[in-house]
This record gives sequence, C-alpha cells and structure tokens, in this order.
Amino acid sequence: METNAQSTRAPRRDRDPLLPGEWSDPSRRAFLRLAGFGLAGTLLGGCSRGPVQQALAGEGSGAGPVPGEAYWLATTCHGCPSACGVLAKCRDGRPIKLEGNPAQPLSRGGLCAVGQGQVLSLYDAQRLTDPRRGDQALAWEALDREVRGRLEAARTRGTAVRLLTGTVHGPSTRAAIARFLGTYRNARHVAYDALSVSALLDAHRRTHGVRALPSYRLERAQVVVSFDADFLGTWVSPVSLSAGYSAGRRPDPPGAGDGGGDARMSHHVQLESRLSLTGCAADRRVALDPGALASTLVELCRALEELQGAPPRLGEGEVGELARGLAARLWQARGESLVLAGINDVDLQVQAAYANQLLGNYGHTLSIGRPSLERCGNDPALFGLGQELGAGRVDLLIVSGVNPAYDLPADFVAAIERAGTVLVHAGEETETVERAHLVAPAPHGLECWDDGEPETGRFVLTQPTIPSLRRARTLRRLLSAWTGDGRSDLELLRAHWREVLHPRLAGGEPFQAFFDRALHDGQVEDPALEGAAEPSFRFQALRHPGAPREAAGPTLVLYPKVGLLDGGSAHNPLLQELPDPVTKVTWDNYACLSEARARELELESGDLVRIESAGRAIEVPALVQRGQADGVVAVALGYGRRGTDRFAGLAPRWLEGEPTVRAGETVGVNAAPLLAFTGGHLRYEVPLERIQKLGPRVELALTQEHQSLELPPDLAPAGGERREVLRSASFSHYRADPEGALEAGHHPPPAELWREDHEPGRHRWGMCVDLSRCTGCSACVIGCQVENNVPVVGRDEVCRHREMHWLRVDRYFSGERKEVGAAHQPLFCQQCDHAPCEAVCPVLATVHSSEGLNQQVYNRCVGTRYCANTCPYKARRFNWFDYPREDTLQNHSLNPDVTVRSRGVMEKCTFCAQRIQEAKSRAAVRGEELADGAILTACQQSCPTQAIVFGDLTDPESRVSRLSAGPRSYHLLAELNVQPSVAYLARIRNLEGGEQTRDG
Amino acid sequence: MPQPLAIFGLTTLLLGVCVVFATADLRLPGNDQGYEPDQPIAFSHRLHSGELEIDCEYCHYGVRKSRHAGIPPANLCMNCHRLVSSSFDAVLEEEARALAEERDPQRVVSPELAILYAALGLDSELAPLPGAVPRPIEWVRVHSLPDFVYFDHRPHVAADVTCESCHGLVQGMERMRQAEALSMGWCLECHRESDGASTDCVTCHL
Repeated sequence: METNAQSTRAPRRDRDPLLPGEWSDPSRRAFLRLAGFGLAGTLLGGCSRGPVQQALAGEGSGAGPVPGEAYWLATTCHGCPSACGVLAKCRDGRPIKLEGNPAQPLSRGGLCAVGQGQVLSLYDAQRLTDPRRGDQALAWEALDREVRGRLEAARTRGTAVRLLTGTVHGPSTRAAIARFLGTYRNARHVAYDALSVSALLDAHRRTHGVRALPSYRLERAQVVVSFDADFLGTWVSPVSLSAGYSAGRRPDPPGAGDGGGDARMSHHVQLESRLSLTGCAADRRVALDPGALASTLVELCRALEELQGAPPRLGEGEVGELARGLAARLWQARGESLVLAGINDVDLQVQAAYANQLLGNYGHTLSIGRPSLERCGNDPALFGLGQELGAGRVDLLIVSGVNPAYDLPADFVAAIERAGTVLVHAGEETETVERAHLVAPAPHGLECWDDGEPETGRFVLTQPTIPSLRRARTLRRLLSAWTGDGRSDLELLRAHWREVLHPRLAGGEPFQAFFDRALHDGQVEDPALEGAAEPSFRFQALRHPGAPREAAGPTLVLYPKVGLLDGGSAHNPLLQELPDPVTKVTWDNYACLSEARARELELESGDLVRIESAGRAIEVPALVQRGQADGVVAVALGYGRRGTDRFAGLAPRWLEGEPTVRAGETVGVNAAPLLAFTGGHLRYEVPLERIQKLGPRVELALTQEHQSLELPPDLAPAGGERREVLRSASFSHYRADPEGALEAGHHPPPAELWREDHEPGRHRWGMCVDLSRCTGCSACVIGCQVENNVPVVGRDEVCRHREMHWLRVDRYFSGERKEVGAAHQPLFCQQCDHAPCEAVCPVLATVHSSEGLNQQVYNRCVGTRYCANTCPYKARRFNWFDYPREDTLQNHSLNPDVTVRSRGVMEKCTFCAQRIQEAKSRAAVRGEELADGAILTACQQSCPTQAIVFGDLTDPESRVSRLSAGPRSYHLLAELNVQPSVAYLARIRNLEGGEQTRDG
Repeated sequence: MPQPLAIFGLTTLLLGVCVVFATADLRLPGNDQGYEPDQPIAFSHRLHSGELEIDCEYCHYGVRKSRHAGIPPANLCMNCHRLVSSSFDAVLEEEARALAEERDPQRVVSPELAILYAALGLDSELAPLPGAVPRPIEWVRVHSLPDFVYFDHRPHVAADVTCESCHGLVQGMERMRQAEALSMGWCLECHRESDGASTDCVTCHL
C-alpha cells in the first residue's frame, strides 16, 4: 500500500524569512508573499501520490466482449405496443443507450423520445422487487400456490375470472393466454389501450368483416387528409408512420443535393381541434371543433360519392366548401390518397373507411388484408368488464401491463374495487398496484425474453440486455405456471417458435439457425403474406349513418403528449423535462385555450382554472395556445401519476431553490377521470360543463422564450428586426425555380473580422438538418441527452432558463387564425469556423480543432460564461450546479465515454466527439479509411425521418457535402458570417395554388 | 496587540488550508512516475513476459478491441496454471525428497498461486471449495489517468506504437512500475512529432 506522504511543514514564525518583520504596515507586497507561501504549501501538500485505486478484472476467460468494448443487441422497444426495432448499445454487461434498428422495416431505424428514455427506466430503483400479498413479500412459489388455489376455487364455483391486459401481440404470450383460457373455462381475456383506437378496429369489423387495425403505407400516398389523427406525434405508431410520411415527401429534383429526391411530395391536410405535432407538419391545417370535424368528414364522403357517381348511401345533405375542396384534391389522387381519423367513434371511423373505399385506397395506401396488430384494445369488451365489475360478478381480476386505476374513467376505477381479488402484474408502483390484493412484479423490456407481431406475419424478438435486476416474471411465464407448466421463460418462447413459427417461416432451415437469425436481425417475416387479399367492403355497414354531430357547445379534449403518451413513462425524469414540441412546456399539464377563448374568460397563461365535466373537476393552469379551435379546451393525459413525488428532491438544493414537486404531490394532474364511455367506446372529447378562473397563478416551466434568436428591438439594425431563421418555400415554386424560390433576403456583404488561419485538417465535420423532414418529434433531444450524460435539472431550474438540453427544438408559428401552423427547427452548437465563443474565452477552454469542431475542454473551463453570452445561436449551457442523480442506480445508464460535467463548467453539443473518436479507433484497428456514414451522431441515429445527416465536408462526395451544396441549403444567421458547420435545408410545403409562405 | 494575533491567525489559516489539501484526495496529475506498489500476488512480468516470452496481448487481449487493454481475469491465468502450480525447481525438489522418503511426490503449490486458487474458490487440487464464491483479485492499479482523459489503446497499437514506449521495459520488471510520467505534456511530445497523431483537445478530452 502506498502511503500518502505528508510533506507539509509548519511555517515557523521566528525563522521564516517570507513573513514580514513588521506587520503593523501591511503592504500589498507582504500580502502577496503570504499568499505565495500559502500556494506553495498547498502545492507541496498536493505533490504526493494519488489515492490507491483497485483494478478488478471481470469473470470469464477472454471470450465475449472485453471490458470497455461496446456491443449492440437487437431487441424491441417496450415503451408502447408499437414494438419498434432497437439496437441496445451495451458496455460491460449493461445497456447504456437505445438506438433504432435500421434493419427493422417498420420503424426503419427510428426511435421516439419515449423509446430513447427507456434505458433510464430500467435502472429505476423503485421498481417492484418481490411478489407480495398486501404489504407482505412472498416467494414466487407461495404466490403461485395462492393464485392456483383461487383459480381452482373459481373453476369449481364457476365464478368469473378476468384477465385485463394492454395490447398483446407476442405470439408466445398469446399462446400462453390461450392455454390459460383453455384450462380455466370461466376466464375471459379483455385487452384495452389507454390511448384507444378501438373504434377504428370496430369500424373495420363492420365494413370489412375483420376487427383489425389497417396497416398504413404513407409513402405511397399523394394526398393525406387527417381528421384529428396525430399520426406523427402520438397516434398508433408515430415512428413508422413518420418514416413513411417523410419517404413520401422528397421535394428535391433528381440530382439536387442528396441525389435521392424525385421531386415528389405528398399534400397533407390536417383538420384538428388543437394544434398537434402532425398539424405543425401539415401543408394545410384547419382548426375545427370536434363537431365540425365530424360533419366535415360526412360531407367529404358525400362529395366523394358525387365525384364517383356512386349512389348516395349517406343520404342527401349539404356539402361545405372545405369538404368539396378536399374531395376534389383526394379524387385527383384516388388510389394514392389516404383519409385518417383519430376520433374514437365507430360511426366516424366507418365514414373514414368509406372515404378510403370510394377513393380505392384499400390495398394501396392502407391494407386490411395484412393488418397491423399494434393496437388490439377492445373498448366494448372493456365497457362490459366495467359492468361486470360494478355488479360484483368478478371473482378474480388479473391485471397485467396496464394501469386501469389511473387511465380509465372514474366509474371504472370505482368498479375495480368490487372485484373479489385483484392481482396486478406490473413493473412499478402504479395506481392499480395500490388497489391490488396480490402483486406480481413484471420485468422491464430490456431484461426479459419476449416476442411480438406488430404487423401480421412480421415477428420481432426481444432479448435481455442485462441479467434481470428484479425477481420478476413475464406474463407468459406467469400464466404458464398457473396452468402447471413450470418451464422457464426462454424455454416457453423457444418452444412456441419451434413448434408454431419455425415450420411456417423457416423454409427448411434448421431451428437453431432460424432462431439465431431472427435474434440477430431482431425480426423475421412471413413471405406468404406479401400478397394477402383485401377483404371486400360491405356497403351495408353504411346503413347506420352517424347522427350528424352539431357543435354541441364547448368540448374538453383529452390528448396524449409526445413525451409521456399514456403516462406509462411518467417516472422517467428525461421525459418529464422534455419540452412539449408544440407548447414547449415541461413538468406540467395545463388547459390549452385558444386566444379568443382566453380573452373571453379573461385568462392568461398560468392562471389556475377549474374544469368540470360530468360532475368531475380538475384544477390545472391555463395556457393560451395559438391554432386551437375556439370551442375546445385541451388537457394532456399522462400526468398526475402516483410516484411522481419522487421528483421532490430532483432540483439542486440552494437558498432560492424550489422543489420540482412538493412531497406527496404529483407532477401535473390526472385528467383521465374525466374520460367517458360513449356508445361503449372511450371518448377523448367530452362535453365541457364549466371552466372557471381560480385566484392563484402557477408559473409554467415554459422553454419557448429561452435562448431566443430574436433581436431585442432596440438593438436591431434598421430593417433587421426580424431575422430569417427558418426559411421555407412552396413546393410548386421550388420545383419551378429551385434557386429563386429560396433567394435569401439582401444582406450587406459580411465583414470579416477573423483571418483565415485555420489550417485545413484531414476532416471537417459538418451536419445538415432537413427542415422539410423534421417533424419536431424531439426524439433527438432525448437521444442526445442519454448519449451525452446531459443532466435533468428540475422544474425550478427550467423556470430560471437553466435547462441543459444540448439540442433544443425551436418552434415557429406561421399562418393566421384558423390556419395557424408551426414549424420546428432543431438547434444545437453550429460548430462555427469563425466562432465568437473561441475569441472570448480567457482560458482557452473552447478552441478550434483541426477538424472544424469547437472543442469545449471541461477541465480547463473556469466558468466565466463569456462564451455563452457571445454565442449567437444560444447553444451553450452552463452547469450552475452539480446535478447528481438521486437514484444512484440510474448512474449505470451514464455513457462511460463522456465526462460527467461538474458545477461551474460550460458545455454544449460536441457533434458526439466520442463517436467520432470511436469510429476513428475502429477504422485504425482495421486499417481502413473512415467511410461516409460510419459516424452517426446520437441525434441523427434516433431521427425517425432521417432529417439529420452528419459527415465530412472535405469529401465532396459525402452525403452531407452534397446536401450542403444543394439549392435548399442555408446557414442560420448567415449575416453574422460566423461560418457554421451546420447547414439547414429550407422547409418546403406543398401548398395549393403556389402561394408563397415564409415561416419564422 | 492585534498585529501578532493577526499574523498568528493568518498563519493558522494558511496552515489549515495546507493540511486540508494535503489530506484530501486532491493531487496534481502526472506525478506518479516510478509508482511501484505491492500487489496482492507477487506476479512477475519479468518471468512471464521476459523469460517465458508470453506475448503482452495474450493476457491483455482487449488492446485491439477496446480502449482498455484490460487486466486479465483470473480464469485466463488458469489456462496455464491449471497445470503449472509452482516453479520447476520446487517440483524437482519435491520429487527428490519423495524419492528419498520412498513415497509418491505431492502436488506443490507456490504460495502466490495459492492466492490465485483461493480467489477462484478452488483448493490446491483445483476442486471447488464448498461454499466459496469466486472473487476477483484486487490488483492495485498502477497506470491511472485523470477522469477527464479518455485514452484509447487501439489507435496506438494500430500505429505500431510498442507497449514498451509507454509502459517501459516491462520484461525486466519483477513488480509493475509506472515507467513514464503519463502527463499531458509527455503525451504531446509524441503526438506533436509523429505523423498522423492529432493534438486536438477532443482526441483525449471528451
């Protein structure tokens, strides 16, 4: 053991020549001498060995990944039932980052914000550990005995057993459920989705005879008309739908920029009651009340009937200007168009299906012959279960993977308590677990075996990326144990694949090779289903035309938010602090009101309001939101989850610090009790009975005005008050004249303050962001945060403009009144060649690299913050505090290749310098040159629409070089001449009539 | 009198500061040259690497795959030490003694290898000890860089930088010693001169 040498000597007053003889005249020199002595003493004290460190080797004998080597496991995301393909990046036996799997044909390499955040949820120390009865922990065997006893008793007595789950599309789990239902004939299975699209499925039972969710092929659609379906943000499967959507929007002429464009761009019209992410991306957006939306859809069908010359099956009626225009546009693109409806109402969904039938879209842009299984929930069955429960007829209720006590209407929640016994199978403390008699812990999706079938005939596999952190069991294992099958989870899964899927899919391949291939790729496909026949349309379904829904007064719309969806990930601080892409609010839900409505009620953003519907009330702050229908108040679901009081200690502790939530309170308010069953279906639009302003005001943690690129009016040069930050043009104009359409405003030739003194390096890293592709989904924000160890700061710090996101997504409104839209612009360090930040740093903590990066050297930074003041893009973030994670288990998700910055240090986007270094090292070992595309930054990797391209600007053939040289490319705030390495590609919108718009 | 009191107070304060800095874990980096701590097993690089000429990469097999060359797991030692449990001299000695005493020679286990076997939960005959859990050997780390330095072995090995250039003549070291300063200036001496090595900050500071 090395001893720490103690070499400090005590200064002796009498002998030390450094001390002034006469202290009565304390001079500056004397003080400096003394200070110098102190410093010397300090240095002497420091000049010993560092602390003794241990170096432990792992187990094993050299096979498998070595310590420090990253490896990727193909698996599946469990953030929602869409089952996007994931490559889990693992280091030293644990996952540290999730990335989209490009080999997965549905998600195509994208992964949403919720999926990106899943890696943190895995390391949640508050997940359930043991089975328990009430508060008493049990062994699994004891729980099995007890449940089997109750099941046997129920079978003998003939009383009802009900299994309530979310969407289950895993074939082996479905088989286990079928075996369970076969053994216990008195059991029934009910599946529901908290964000239900049951009406869409039920409508297809009426129109096509199959209860199924169509699979959509948005890339084939020339015209998309969506009625309140937020398909780019929250509806069904945003990642795969976004990928398809952006594949159908490639405005560049062939050869321009990427060379991949075919000058084709779909026209997208969004009719919706509140401004959604999809509405922001739309070419045309109209804000309508839910009643008007319904009548427009019926009118659209009538107009299409007229155009087709079909018999008027819907009866005569008025057809408005809007519907007639839409019908004409759709009719031009029949067979290559798509009508979507996001309203959970069977009659309306039948209308939408009819519209698609009239347009001949089935089999082209949507398919019911090979349906999607991403949502299987059945609202009428759920409603029936509620009735049964309410009547006290359910003996044993088994709830797995869902949280009905939180996300269902209040009546249903009350009915749960009347079940004889409630067993809840869940991963964490939920509202339903609170009401359970028996609790069975469920594993996280990253630590268990599982399979899935998100689209008919397309099978995905989930493999554990880490040995299970909890004594948890999957539903498959649980149900098998109760039917007397004690096999392990993997054995059960493999048995199903061997017996059922292998004969069907393998084509003579031995089982092990087939299974290994499926595991390696993450998925396997049934070739037989490619040309599945479309069932024919049953016109008799239209014999029940929807009663015309007149605007029945004000409506309360309950909607899911991009980061939180149904609230299943509400315990994840990353997602709580993700600004909503439309409202830019973090850490809260609120009541969105249109400007007119707010004026009428004399409300301002932040005023606490009380909202009443059907005798129930919630109190939330108001938020004035542009682009919303006047008759609508919108409140987000997913908030007010039990256990979000864990964030009470999240904020840094200092004198003026406020906790993110007060102890015992929740983040936001749960709006789900206001939901209602209408006609057996969950309705997210309910009548608003009263909205009332309460006295107090709440400060919303709103990030929109933070880091603004706007100039203060008193500082702006004449004519330069409004900066052209986000450039856009119409498709017709762009196609006719690519250069002219995007002519920049006139700026004087920029003055040059810096000499061209950067030696050209071997590479010059650059990035391109295509604003036509960006939907603002914010997957990149979370991807960046996880990759770069960016801390979560808490609500109070966000209110103080101190959020740490290296990558933010700015929102810019465009349009007026009912047609308000918005555009999104991801913004991060632009890695300027003539960077203002580099010139002002007094300690050379931010300097230029030979490869064009603005390096930020944390160990040199002393925190003057000059660089942040001078950055025109406001891309730098300062660590006002250390932000340690309260849950130290979550430190396992930290990226070991990136420094965890300490207090007093500036930080910013580095273009994922660690990934550049990693790719260089890998190439060096192989003796290869770095190939274009070998380096993917975290934001680029996660993007569902591939809007971000990174590469080497010195290589004229690299994708980023070709895109940067294209006609749409421009530099942000080019007039400042800081020569950023990031180029934005102007936003092209496929407007009707060729009118020009400029966002920003 | 306030003046002597002031001097005394100030001196005490400075002294306090010195003591705090001396006892806290705050050290200047790059001053560990010549560090040669005792190790839990007196493993000899001179014997393995010098005399037996075992390639460095046999044990430090991570060097081309990972940024860390890695400390070999105890199981890797067992590739040889399953059979070799002591020096050849000791075996000969035992055989001679056994011959003299007219008995079968016994397996000789050197005291250092006994520590290895114990760590793996094995007895001297390599049978698992009942109730013993294999535990990693707690080697004392010799080459340690500050936490804000992200050294990567791979590009150095790829550029044919020999192990000795940074780790010294390990073949001659009975006990592992830090031969070089491993300070930033020392790194840069080489990076400035060699062709292709970068002196950008982000090469090491990520």
